[in-house]
Amino acid sequence: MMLFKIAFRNILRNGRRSLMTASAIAVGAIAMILFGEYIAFIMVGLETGAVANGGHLTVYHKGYFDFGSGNPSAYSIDKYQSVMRLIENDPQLKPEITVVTPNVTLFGIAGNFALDASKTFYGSGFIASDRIKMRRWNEYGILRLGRADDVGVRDNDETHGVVGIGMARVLGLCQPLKIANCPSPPKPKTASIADAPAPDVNLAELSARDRESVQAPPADKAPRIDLLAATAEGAPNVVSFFVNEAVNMGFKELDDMYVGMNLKLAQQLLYGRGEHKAVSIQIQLHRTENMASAHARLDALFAKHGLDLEVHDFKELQPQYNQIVGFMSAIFTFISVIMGVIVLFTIVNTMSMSVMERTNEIGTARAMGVRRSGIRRQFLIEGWMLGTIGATAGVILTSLLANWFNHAGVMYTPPGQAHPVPLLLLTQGVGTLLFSVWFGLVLMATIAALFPANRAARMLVVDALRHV
Amino acid sequence: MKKLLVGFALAALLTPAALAQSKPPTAQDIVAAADTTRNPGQPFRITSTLVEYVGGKPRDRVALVVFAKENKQTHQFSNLVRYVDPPRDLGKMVLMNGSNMWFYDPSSKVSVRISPQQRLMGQASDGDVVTANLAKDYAAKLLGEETLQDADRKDRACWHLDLTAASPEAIYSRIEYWIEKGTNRPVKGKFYSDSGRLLKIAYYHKYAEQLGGMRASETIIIDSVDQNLVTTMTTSDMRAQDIPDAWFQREYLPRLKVD
Repeated sequence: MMLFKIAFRNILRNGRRSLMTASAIAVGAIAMILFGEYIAFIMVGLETGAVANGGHLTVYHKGYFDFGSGNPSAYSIDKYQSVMRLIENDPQLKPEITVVTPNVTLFGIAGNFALDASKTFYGSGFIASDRIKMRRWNEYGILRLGRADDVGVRDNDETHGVVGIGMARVLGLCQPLKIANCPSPPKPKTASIADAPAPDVNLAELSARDRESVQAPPADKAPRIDLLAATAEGAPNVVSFFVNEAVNMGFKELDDMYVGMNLKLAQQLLYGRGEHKAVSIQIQLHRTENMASAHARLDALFAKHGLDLEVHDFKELQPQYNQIVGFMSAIFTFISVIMGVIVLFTIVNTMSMSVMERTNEIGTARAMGVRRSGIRRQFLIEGWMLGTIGATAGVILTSLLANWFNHAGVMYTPPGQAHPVPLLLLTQGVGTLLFSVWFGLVLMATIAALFPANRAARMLVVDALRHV
Repeated sequence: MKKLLVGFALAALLTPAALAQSKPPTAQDIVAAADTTRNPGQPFRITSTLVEYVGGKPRDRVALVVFAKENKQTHQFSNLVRYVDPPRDLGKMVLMNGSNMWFYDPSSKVSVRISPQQRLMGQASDGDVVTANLAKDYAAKLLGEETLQDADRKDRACWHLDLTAASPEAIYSRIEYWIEKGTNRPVKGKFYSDSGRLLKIAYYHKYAEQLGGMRASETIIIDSVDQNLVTTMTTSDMRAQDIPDAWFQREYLPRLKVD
């Protein structure tokens, strides 16, 4: 106890220098913790986004994940309703599951032939009420502004849906949908060839004979496009599709391709008159920590019932999740190393100066019979104490700063998303982060004190006493 | 993509001589009669010209030579289509064998498979209107007799038939089909997709003597999805030719020598 008292008094002896040293450590702690909390927020934000949009686990027909996107109808889940019932009624899974919902993805051609505009589309068919329920997932209590409760598709309305903004632009729907900053497509050039014979029948009259007003536009005047797709047998299939609105999908590739529609319409397009299947079944759990056990349970369940299905979790389906985790971790490690080095040098510097100043004192103590280890311990405790004071101050300051920042209302748009969300620092559930930063800095400070302490301990008593 | 698939201007156009009918025919008989007439009963070659009209103005023209042979097992035609005009497309070939479709480019000497999903647009799908052997894949029902204006605005007394898909290979879920009474010549067809939407309308006209039968030498295909688009398919120079089976092998395409 005496040692600690002496160490504390020694720290106070040169108060300004100790304050600067402790401040350096505190700033290091603040930087690391704030950045760690920011990363933690990004990660749970990504997780919440991924889970809210696609669920934790997705069930596919075996082989779909590797080969299916080229031919979704050949890798579809037959009798998906019974598979869903099997999952929902499983006694182990039942208490963990929020939503189990079927999904159909397909490729085809979307056309607005009145404007002679068409392009390939990537369609996603889902059950709107399930999708809304999934979007409310909020395990980490992150308030997500935006359109949580409106997916633009209704359960009871097969023909309406949404398209990406890029898709709307290509199809010339900017004006009807009232999209800002969206130019209308240029008039297509009517290329014509000269040497073709003029038709000897009146083509206009001929095609006017059977022209049916496809469907009277509904009262809400949503613009109509045609969606073409082919079934597995190659039969072409066309449906009318009314666009409620254009949604921003976050990145251009998807924005230019996306059509969100009712599950039944997607099934109609992809399976035609055949059995209406599902391409995938999405499962959302209450808590992410149950994901591994639910995954194992599903595998066991499918093996037991001889179902040819495979399960993937959102980390596999969204490779950017793990990429962003890795990227952020690398930055965090880098910053931590730099902070550690700074702390190391600060402590080494401060303690070396102490040792220099107190050479006479060390000689006196040694002459009075204090052993080398006693001197070393003395300086080690001083370093440890500086580190502790600095790190503790840093942790306390960080919580004040984070609290202030979280109330400042900063907004940002996370990677791969379309709408700005509040930028927060995650202050709950980061105990491990706080402790490891605190412990790391204290350890660093103690190690840093080791070199000056060793030097002090190795001094020759006579030289130290004579030192001026 | 659209261009390369230009149609399979085939056998379909060949509507043969009337079958002698003594008693009132059943719907299936009528369709079969119209079908058998599409098929000259022997392998043949034919020159086919497709012109695409947009809003009444010709936009594109392609001339093809089609070699067709009926597969004895499936009763569907295997087709080899060779581009002859415009010159930049000369030598390109499309092989259609059952539900497989291959595109062959002579400059690279490779053939590329075209999946069903990639045949959606343009005239690619027009082949379906003219090649299919309808009696096999569809169940026909007689809706009644009707007097119908053909493409030349002439009234024809027709059987009005309703064909519904009876096998998974059937491309369309439903076809409305008008066949002239007595001659069993198809006059008009309306083709519907699985979703019930009208996809295209075909008028068969300009019947002329070709390879031992009266066959339509022009088919007008009206696209009902892209309503500006009309394609005419004119056939000529139809003659019997013995075609080796090897011609319908994908591997044989690079070695195929056609005049």
